[in-house]
Amino acid sequence: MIPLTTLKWKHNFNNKLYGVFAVGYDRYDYGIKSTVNPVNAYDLNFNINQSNLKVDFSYFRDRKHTIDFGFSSIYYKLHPGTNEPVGSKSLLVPDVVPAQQALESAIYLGDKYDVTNDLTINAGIRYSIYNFLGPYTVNYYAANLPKESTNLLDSVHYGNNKVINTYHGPEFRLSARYSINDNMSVKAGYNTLRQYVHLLSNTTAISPTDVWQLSDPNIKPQYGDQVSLGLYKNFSSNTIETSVEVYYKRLRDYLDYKSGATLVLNHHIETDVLETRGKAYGVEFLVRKTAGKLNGWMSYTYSRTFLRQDDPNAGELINGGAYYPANFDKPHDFNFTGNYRFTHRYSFSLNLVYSTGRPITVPIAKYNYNGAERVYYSDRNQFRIPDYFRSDFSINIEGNHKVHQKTHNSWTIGVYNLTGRQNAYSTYFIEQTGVINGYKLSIFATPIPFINYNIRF
Amino acid sequence: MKRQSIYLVAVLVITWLACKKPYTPHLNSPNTNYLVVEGFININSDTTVISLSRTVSLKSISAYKPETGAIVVVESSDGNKIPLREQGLGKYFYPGLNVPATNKYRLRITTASGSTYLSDFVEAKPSPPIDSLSWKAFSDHLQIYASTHDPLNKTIYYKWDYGETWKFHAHDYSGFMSNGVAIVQRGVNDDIYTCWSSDSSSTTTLASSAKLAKDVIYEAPITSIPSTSLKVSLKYSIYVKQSTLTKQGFNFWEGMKKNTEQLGSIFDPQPSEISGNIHNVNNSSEPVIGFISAGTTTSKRIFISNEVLPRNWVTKYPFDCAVPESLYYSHPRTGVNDVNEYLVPGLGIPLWQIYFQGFVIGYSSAGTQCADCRILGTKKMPPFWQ
Repeated sequence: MIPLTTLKWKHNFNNKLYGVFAVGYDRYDYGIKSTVNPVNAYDLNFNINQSNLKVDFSYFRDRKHTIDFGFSSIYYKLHPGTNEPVGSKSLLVPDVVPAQQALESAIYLGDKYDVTNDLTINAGIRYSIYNFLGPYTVNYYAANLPKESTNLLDSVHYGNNKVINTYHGPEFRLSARYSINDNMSVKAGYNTLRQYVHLLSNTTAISPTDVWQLSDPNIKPQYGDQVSLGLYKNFSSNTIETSVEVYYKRLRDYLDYKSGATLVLNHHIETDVLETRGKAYGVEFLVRKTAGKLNGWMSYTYSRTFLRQDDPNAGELINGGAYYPANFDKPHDFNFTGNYRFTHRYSFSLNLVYSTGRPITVPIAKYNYNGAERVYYSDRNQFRIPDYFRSDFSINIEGNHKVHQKTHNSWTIGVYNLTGRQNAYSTYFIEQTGVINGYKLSIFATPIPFINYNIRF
Repeated sequence: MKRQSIYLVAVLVITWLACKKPYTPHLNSPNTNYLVVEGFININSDTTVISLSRTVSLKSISAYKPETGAIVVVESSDGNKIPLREQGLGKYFYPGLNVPATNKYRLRITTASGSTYLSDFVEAKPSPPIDSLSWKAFSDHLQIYASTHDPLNKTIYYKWDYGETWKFHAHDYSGFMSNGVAIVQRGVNDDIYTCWSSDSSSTTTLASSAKLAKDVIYEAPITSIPSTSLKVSLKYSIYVKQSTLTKQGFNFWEGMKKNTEQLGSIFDPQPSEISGNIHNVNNSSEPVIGFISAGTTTSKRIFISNEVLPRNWVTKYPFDCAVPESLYYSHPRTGVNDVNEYLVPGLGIPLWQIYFQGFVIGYSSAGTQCADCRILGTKKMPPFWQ
């Protein structure tokens, strides 16, 4: 459920300056409820709320310069997990991970500089200040030692709205666009980013769960920078657009889980995560046809994201300190959307989606150690879930085209997942009567026919 | 131009089909069969035991596949080589190495199939004595702690394993027994009211003083026992063995502690990576599970009598032992001789006599699990018991 409320007010101060004032509230929450076993029945909930205030000004200094500036403030309130019993038979002890709250404030200044008719330069700086706020109990760990309970020095409770710690720093962006001729241009850019909210995914369960975390004294903000280059060319009087874009990105302090980490309902998540360094790169090809009987677009992206944890002081190395694919590393991604219009009334649509399965870490063997049965896992993200492929096909039938009628009607008849491919929503392993079995859960795993009747007013 | 669209779904054939299918990832080597090495090189007179086994497939019922017929040798940094003796079931031992602590030690394993494995040389870390085993009684559990220190500030990383023994009573006291023909008074030697039971845990406690200015461990939590446990119903004893680890060894054990068979639910831990200090000399990329440390161990035992624990703790027996049943020589209603029918053949245990006008007319009785402590333990008192 995503309630989203924004209130905006735009004001022109004069013909060169205008401002937009906005206040908003976003909420994202999700939960998992299980009543299969009445004694263990639970209702697990997470949510992240953002209240924001934004003031943006645009100043048209002259024909060449457009200056943007403003400030923003976001108040985060995060509930990282509450687990409550469901029904009178449930004996579950309620567990609530304390809420986290923070304030992120930023000012920015940017200039769009039209150097010539063919060259535009866009530059900007943003400076953000992040305050992690009470009430919260912060654990402090000994310096230069792994953040583990054995190295816990002290736990300090901070009161309501007390500033517990502050991170701040600048972000830069610089991009330039050059038109080589009327239908060809090139664009290059560099930008940095700081991110104060982290996302951890528990992907080894039947229902993959996202766990959000705010930066705090133990968890640094994520930092990244990226260079990109794009080439754009149009053909056939701009009815066919093509582009190639390449990028290379560096990541720092990207969170990943430690071996054997518990992510859900963890009251001290800092002991279960590691800060990794990463690199990402990719190339994206796009062809779009905007007019004619046949129209649509097709894109192919090759992109990789690798992470690395090679700091011996962190307590453990992931895959011996080598680069490994990130959870969301899907090298090949192909999309096709095509429409073919036979007549004014009949058209066909075909939609194809293909992507490489995301990486997973799987159990590959069992053994006995220290008097208990243990599971031997593959290297981190060494395997992948099966590739995703889906094709949807539909026929659109328009009603009559008389201008003077109250409504325009149309029919859409089609099939979703035409090939009935059983795409994996999740893969997971469970121990059943002493042996470990792997499962793949598929949703919409058969061709699904549909008919829509559309009315346009 | 503003255009509002309402999409009306006239006929909707949605087949929400969530299907669960067995899934086996395509593995390059489905048969992992990796070597698993467990043990500790005891440099003093204590026995050194090394266990060798192999990983098994996920579909295998038993997780222990012993590696037999290997040659296991303890090697010291000054060139000394001491072969261990094979004991069977993958265990290799030596009664007392008695080698100096000034050397470093490693293990050389040559398997029956001819592969050679070496552990990294590790320093022999002697364990300082356990200063004390202490306990605290909370409202619903008993907590056991260990404290130790190293005046030389050299140990830093500690590991404790423990074994528990407890003296307990059966739920019901039986003063009588069947001799196969009749019910007779139970003799002292036939007592089944008091027994001992023991358990060695697979739970390991780790602690580190790396964060402290001095090498002191104060009250590292070893285990906790619920107040309702039979373990603390009469007298409880715990034996704690302390060994020391290197920093790498400590990290290995931290990882091993988190590795469980619990997997698949959203509350279960993420996968864990186990790396050790043992390598195949000809193939360094072959995974080998295990970490070999060397040194000495120290140990301590304490006893905790129920008398010093909170009075309001109530023991919960693992069986339903409500009210003893009364069995008569002649049942008041049916006239059946329940004593001969049930108690003499041993289908119940007679507890005490039932009198009527000075005559024994029957016995109260209980099931074996409620009156015979041997169901949960042994009558043999352990030699160390106090």
